[in-house]
Amino acid sequence: MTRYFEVLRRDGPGRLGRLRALGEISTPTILGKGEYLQNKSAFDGAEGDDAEGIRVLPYVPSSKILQPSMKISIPGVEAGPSAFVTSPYQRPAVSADIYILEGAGTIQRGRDLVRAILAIREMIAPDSALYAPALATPANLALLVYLGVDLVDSIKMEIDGYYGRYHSRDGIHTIAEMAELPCRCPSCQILQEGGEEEAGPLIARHNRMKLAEEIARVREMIREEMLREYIERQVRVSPEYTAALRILDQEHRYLERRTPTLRRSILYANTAESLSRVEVTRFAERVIERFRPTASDVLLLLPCSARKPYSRSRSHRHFAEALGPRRRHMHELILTSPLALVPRELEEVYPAASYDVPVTGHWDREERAWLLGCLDRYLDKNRYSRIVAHLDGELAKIVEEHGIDAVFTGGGKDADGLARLSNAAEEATRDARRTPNPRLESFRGRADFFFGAGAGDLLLCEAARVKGHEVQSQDGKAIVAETANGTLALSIEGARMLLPLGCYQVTIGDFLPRGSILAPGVLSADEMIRPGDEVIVRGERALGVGRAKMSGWEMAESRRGVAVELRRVEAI
Amino acid sequence: MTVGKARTPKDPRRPVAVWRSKELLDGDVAGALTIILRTRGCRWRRCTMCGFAAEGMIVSADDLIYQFRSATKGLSERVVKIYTSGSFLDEKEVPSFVRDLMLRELSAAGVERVVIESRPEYVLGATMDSVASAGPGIEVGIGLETSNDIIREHVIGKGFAFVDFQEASRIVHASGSRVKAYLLLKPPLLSEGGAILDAINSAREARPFADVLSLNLCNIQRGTPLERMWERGEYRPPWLWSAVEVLLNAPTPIICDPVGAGARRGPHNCGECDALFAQAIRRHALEQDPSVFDGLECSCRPLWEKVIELEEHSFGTPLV
Repeated sequence: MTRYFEVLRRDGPGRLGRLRALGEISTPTILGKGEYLQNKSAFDGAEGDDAEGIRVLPYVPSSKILQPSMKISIPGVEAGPSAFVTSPYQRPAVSADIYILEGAGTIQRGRDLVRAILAIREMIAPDSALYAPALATPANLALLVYLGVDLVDSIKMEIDGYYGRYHSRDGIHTIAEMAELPCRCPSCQILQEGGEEEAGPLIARHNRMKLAEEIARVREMIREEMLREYIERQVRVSPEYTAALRILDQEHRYLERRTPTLRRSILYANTAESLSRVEVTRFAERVIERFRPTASDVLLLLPCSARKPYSRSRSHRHFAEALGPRRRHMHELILTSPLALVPRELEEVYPAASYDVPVTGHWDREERAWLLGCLDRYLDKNRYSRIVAHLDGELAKIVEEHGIDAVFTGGGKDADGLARLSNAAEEATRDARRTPNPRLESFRGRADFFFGAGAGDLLLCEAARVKGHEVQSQDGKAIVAETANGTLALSIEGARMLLPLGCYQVTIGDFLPRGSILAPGVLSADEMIRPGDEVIVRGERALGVGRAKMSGWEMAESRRGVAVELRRVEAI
Repeated sequence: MTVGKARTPKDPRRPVAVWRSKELLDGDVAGALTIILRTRGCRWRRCTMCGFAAEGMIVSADDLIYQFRSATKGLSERVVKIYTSGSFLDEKEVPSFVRDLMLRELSAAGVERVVIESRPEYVLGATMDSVASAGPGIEVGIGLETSNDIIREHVIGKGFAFVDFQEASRIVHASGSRVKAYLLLKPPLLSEGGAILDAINSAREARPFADVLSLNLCNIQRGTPLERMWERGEYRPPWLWSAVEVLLNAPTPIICDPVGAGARRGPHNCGECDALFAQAIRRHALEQDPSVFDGLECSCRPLWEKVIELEEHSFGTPLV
């Protein structure tokens, strides 16, 4: 029955949405106090039915400690958006457009905040809005939104003003103890001048303004698809928030189900938490579990480059030149932080093509453990008769000390280093297999990476050939193409070939879609689908291909919103 | 009951507490002696905010008489309040012969009013007849807390209804005794403003059945569910401003002893003005004159007003 709220864009669990109430409200947003919500608890004994805007359904106040057992009847709402007061301790009794987290403002610890919001989010429809009253501050707002909160208010800003608590993005300060106010808003100017005016309302106004600035910033971060990067630095203002992010990162399933497979932004791996990002773990997992490298006897380990994709960097161009024709006899694997392993075939895939990390030459313990763990798993699955490691500095030492049986060239990008690489490659590839068609093999590996193991063989089973950026069948029909953002795009023909795999499919009803597929039109969808994934749309009357705009589970559970942007569709 | 009191070992021969104070008696201020007898304690013991039952222990009739006599030695007060951490009229707490003996001794000592407390289920016709004949002007305090059955039942967990209180009141009055109704400011799960309204409303509805109202400002007692809520930031004791607001808008006579005022666990304002407010509330209890609150000002008033305004929208979060 969710009809008044729609999610428009996602960046991890954070979303931009639209709430149809008193006109149209863009979320995440700060609800005005009492502006939209009519609040009558069962203890007031009143029936406020004169509500304009959002109607709060009757509720019994409760807390974890004290849960009144009284039963009340909740009338159905005929028109207009409704809100239901709920808690993490019980499943909401009715379906509503908005859920209000009761006692949200009392949550003190980061751990409890994460638990409460995740628990509620898992119980309510994905296309319902979550309101956390009396909780938001400029310091925690981005975290709240990242956790999955859509609506907040400025109650804390207002009351804290009267308590003399001065808010900024850095946290709370006691105004009486501040020598200088780090803000140039009109209220702060009056406060700084120290006139007769009552301080409470002035600080409240400043606080509200800071919260309003922050919500705009957060919305912009979602649009720029930089919310995660923003969160990683914003939580630094307090150990409690940093703990919250780390605890959230442990809730891998919650995050993974909500994290897109493609972002337009550059992934900044600036913090310890960057290592546990879904994009990072997902990439490594797919490299090891799904991806099948081009068959080769010799593995070449290379360092990463600042420029992405690596092939465009000066160092990797030099490596290629030094390898010359021996290159066709080796499989190249780039070692990097935080992605650990990037096979050459995947260097244009997100996030391999667009990440940045502070380079110091030093690898800390977590980075080492992550890299070596991934490398062990990779070598366990993919066997090579010889390994050449053209690595230098600490990285070479780490790999060597780990006991990887390889020829260590000492690395280097200068003439000497390149010569050593050339010699080692020459030596190692003597009587090694030569890859017959590296570009086709690269497509095979990427198809497995994107659609699951076996996809490459299904797509390339016939005598397929690469032409430009696409793979064509023998009779010249396009099967699959690589796109500018590093993904693969299927043709209808390609989709048909992939059907037996049963993955990345969205099943729709008996209609011929055009443009985009809305969530209500989806009958079922593969749970694995994430926003940004290439998907196959199949119905009784149509076969199509397009890009997922929401996760598969969301398509199945939502009543509103675009599920898939179709690129091609064919009537069948 | 003092707030945050250190625990002393329980002794069956010593009352929980004994103190002397001033009390309103038929329009006069009179000396009062309060005795809290150590009994087995309240047998209901499931109210959200009440930790009194923890004070109970098994005591003999002999112990009770000993406690009583040691506390009333040299008695000169006109008013005696004789309480237990439960119901004085519960014969499992205070056997009827002990009860009547105490009341007769107080009468013999010239005490003009004896105040006792009981849950309504122990207020029976026969009990009241025997109590009224044994002692002088008896006043029975009943913890009604609120006239709102929903709040009393589901939030406080009191286990009786407004009609039970009305019936007890009828029985007490029929025996020629007086009724005092205790009202609670503020039960948990209510906003500050909601609690004020509830208390004022309760005072108006209870007044026809009570000779005097007594407003209890909620404090945080140890080992109670309320204490756990308070620790979780889900409860704040009432503001003293709120107490004044209720006293100004409730029918008289209404008395109030701001126990624990100014303490974190007790009713409090900003910390600056708590002592003055407590003083004014105590004066009001004796004089019943609303003008004692005139000129009571503090810079925290706008804050309290803001709390009341905003807690209507905070969905269960006390704004502290």
